[in-house]
Amino acid sequence: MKISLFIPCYVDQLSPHIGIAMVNVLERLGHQVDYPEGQTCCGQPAFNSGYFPEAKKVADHFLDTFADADLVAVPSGSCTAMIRKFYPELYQDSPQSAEVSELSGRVFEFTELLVNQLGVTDVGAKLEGTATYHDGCHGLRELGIKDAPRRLLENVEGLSLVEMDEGQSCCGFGGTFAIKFPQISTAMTQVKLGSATQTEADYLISGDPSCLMQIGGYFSRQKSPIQCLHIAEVLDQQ
Amino acid sequence: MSQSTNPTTQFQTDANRVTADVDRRSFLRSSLRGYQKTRTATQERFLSYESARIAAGDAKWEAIENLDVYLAQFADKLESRGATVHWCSDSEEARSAILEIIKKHDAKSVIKSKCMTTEEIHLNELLEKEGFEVVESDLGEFIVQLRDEAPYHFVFPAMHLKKEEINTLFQEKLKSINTDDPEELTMVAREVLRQKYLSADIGISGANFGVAETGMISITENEGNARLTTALPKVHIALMGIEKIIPRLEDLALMLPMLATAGTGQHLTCYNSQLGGPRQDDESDGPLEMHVVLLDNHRTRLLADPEQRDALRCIRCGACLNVCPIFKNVGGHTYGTTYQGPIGSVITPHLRGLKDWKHLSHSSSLCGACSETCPVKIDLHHHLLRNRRDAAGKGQGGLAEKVLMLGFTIVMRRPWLYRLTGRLGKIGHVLTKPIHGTRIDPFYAWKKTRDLDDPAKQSFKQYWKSRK
Amino acid sequence: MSRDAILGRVREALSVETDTHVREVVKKSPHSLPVLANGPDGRTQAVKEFLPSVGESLEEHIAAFKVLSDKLQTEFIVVPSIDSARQAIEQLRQKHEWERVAVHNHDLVQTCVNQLSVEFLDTSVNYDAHALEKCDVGISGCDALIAQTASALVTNHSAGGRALSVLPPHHVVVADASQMVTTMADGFALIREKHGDNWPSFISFITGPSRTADIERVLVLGAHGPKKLTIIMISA
Repeated sequence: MKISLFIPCYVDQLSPHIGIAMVNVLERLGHQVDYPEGQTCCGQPAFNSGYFPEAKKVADHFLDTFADADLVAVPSGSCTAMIRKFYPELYQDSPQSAEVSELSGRVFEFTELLVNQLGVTDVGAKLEGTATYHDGCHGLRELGIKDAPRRLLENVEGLSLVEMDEGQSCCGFGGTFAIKFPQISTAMTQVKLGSATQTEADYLISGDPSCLMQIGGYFSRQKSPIQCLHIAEVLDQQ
Repeated sequence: MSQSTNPTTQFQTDANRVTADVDRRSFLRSSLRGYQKTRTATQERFLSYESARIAAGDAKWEAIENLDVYLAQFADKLESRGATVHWCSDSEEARSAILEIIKKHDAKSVIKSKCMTTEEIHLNELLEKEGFEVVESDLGEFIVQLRDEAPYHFVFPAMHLKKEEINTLFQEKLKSINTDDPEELTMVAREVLRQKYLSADIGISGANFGVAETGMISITENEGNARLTTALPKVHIALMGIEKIIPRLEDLALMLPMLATAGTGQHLTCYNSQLGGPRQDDESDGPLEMHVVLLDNHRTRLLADPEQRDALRCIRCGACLNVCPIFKNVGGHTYGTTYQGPIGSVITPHLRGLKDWKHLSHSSSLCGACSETCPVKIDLHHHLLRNRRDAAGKGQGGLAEKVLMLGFTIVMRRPWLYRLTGRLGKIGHVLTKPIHGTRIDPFYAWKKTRDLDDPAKQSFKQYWKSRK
Repeated sequence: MSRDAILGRVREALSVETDTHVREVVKKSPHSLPVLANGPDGRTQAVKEFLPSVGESLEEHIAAFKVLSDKLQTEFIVVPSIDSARQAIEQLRQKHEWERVAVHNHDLVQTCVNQLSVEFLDTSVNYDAHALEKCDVGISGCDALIAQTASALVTNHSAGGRALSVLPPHHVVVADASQMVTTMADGFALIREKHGDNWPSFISFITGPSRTADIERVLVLGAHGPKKLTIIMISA
């Protein structure tokens, strides 16, 4: 099956290895991977700041870029939620609303794509150690992604999963929130560090690179030995 | 709380202070963890908690979408039972209506049971200024009143205080014995307040629901203080926001267990009382007069918003506060509002002005824990987003932000410009190395507490190109 | 008139229909919702179908009532006859050394207390609240017992006014097993039947002794109301 990748802007610039891992996993599973090169951003930074018309302009560009895609895979629950859940609201009364709801039905977060669309729960990955999984709020609550990443990780050879206390609470990122209210944002991550440390896990894994930027940034500042990984990187471990 | 500064500055300053107090934050968190455990156990007893939420949400939709009909019915029924209904457009009208009743009866002392709406109209300040003795009878409210503080949480007013602090307070203000045992402290308050009930001329309560069909208010509580407040004094005044209406008596059979489950994790609170009128001819006690003061105070402004009138369905259970990571880390007083937490952040801009209160809508990671827990399924975190939209639409985000967003749009619509920006970013990163981590670093707000990866040597785009 | 002004604003506000997108949030749920009847029946049905189940039979109801009562620290005593109810009350008198007992004009209550040698206060007629405050216990009837919530449903008529059941430190309810109903909605229906449109001015669901957890979430009984609640149910 041909799968088109949407690599969010900050992943493209800061963490391209996440996108590369995703390509590797999908190709190993025998899929043809495509990357529409005109892509930039889904528009969420503007949308979450309340600039809806501006976000819509960026969304227009996304729609043009991915008009011909069959299936779109995104390594972020948050960006997927933007496209699948919030685009329809942005285009609620516009002539493109049918096109938008049709396209948003073809956009999937990486783990839900693997498990629910491609029917894969074991990608043959290996990683020694203990891991805890952090659910990004958008993936969890806007899209209801909870089981898919866990099923994939359970099948990673050598890896055991431990749940965190208050595991479903937010890591503190929240886009511009992290900059506008750094003290609250950091306090939230401090709580997360406590819960993660309690599990004695070697790895904290997430499906959302933005959460990882927040959690990883704070953990490394606090010299925590816990390594933060995107789930695509884990599934790419051989 | 720093009252003199503007609300945004006050919020930031207080948030700085509270987030730095690790001990208090963990005290708060462990208390809320206890709540969450109890609540989960109670929810699990339901045959379907999810369906019950939908049905409860529906009952409130029916009330809000037909509010004119039900409000009129509620008032007519109550009046036919001998109660007096006062319609008040704003705080000022409600305050004068209540003051007039109290003065007419030549009252000296007033006993109150928990009512957030009286906080909203700052009733206590007024009554004290007029020389009346006003006593809050709910234990938590009593404690914060003694401390001359606002309630910390609209369901658990004194949850921020440790028993040692309450001990000190009671010794100081009540000349009580030295004890930090919660039971003994509660008994101290019980003894003090018993005498107040018996001597008070006026009892003031709130209302959790107003039943349109039968003209009754319904009060939910655990302590029995609202029952005493509405049984012993000769005049009962109930202050109620117009949105508290529900259509029928039977709706309570659903709403009361939902309120308890979501609010405290109990399957039902200890006393759920429906009061319809003063003492009737064939009754042996109860107040001789009952006054119901209906308050608009900009609720109709929220009602006029076809997206956010949803928030008027709130039953003030406080569940959204209890799960909110912002509330857990900044605490109740930081909000500077009558209603704290997610619901407060949603409605305060409508009740008190978007310009001054929009920061509450930005102070959220939009994690959605509030909407997920709300027993009537209010679309809380998306309303925060809608408030952000409205603020941006009115240009309240400021010029710099507007320009930034414009720039963002221009770049993101043009792949070549996006690529160029990426490259310039890398160059910029190298050039600004000397100031990295300092206060003039553009990423200082982030980097003060968090590391940030350097831009990758090769972007994904470049990787993909090189592959081909 | 403020009434007209407020109702006018409400009507004007509602002239714009609710945004369908937001309205749908309530409906959207992964759980299927059975079709609910319109009107009071719908909500009554929801209470039966979604809230905790307590079975259909009296035995199941009593069992459920007992489980919750234990949790609430309500003393729930099931006795086989009026005579044994009378004995149970006599035992309570001895145990708690009652001297002053508040009662009211209620057949079952009167039958149960007529042999107690204590000082009585009758709250069915005008009474002094200070005298009630000095009572060791208030003994009342009720309109129904609610199995789903382990509550005693009372009104001014069935409980000797508003204060008897809340001012003294101990409240004893005497009830007959025939008064056990499933849900709070059934309780409301009973009162509706009994009083028609002439509602009592006070109705209350009493669910356990008065309590608070306002200090560090530590449960304390008897915050303002009774520290003890005893429900005596005659099962014959």
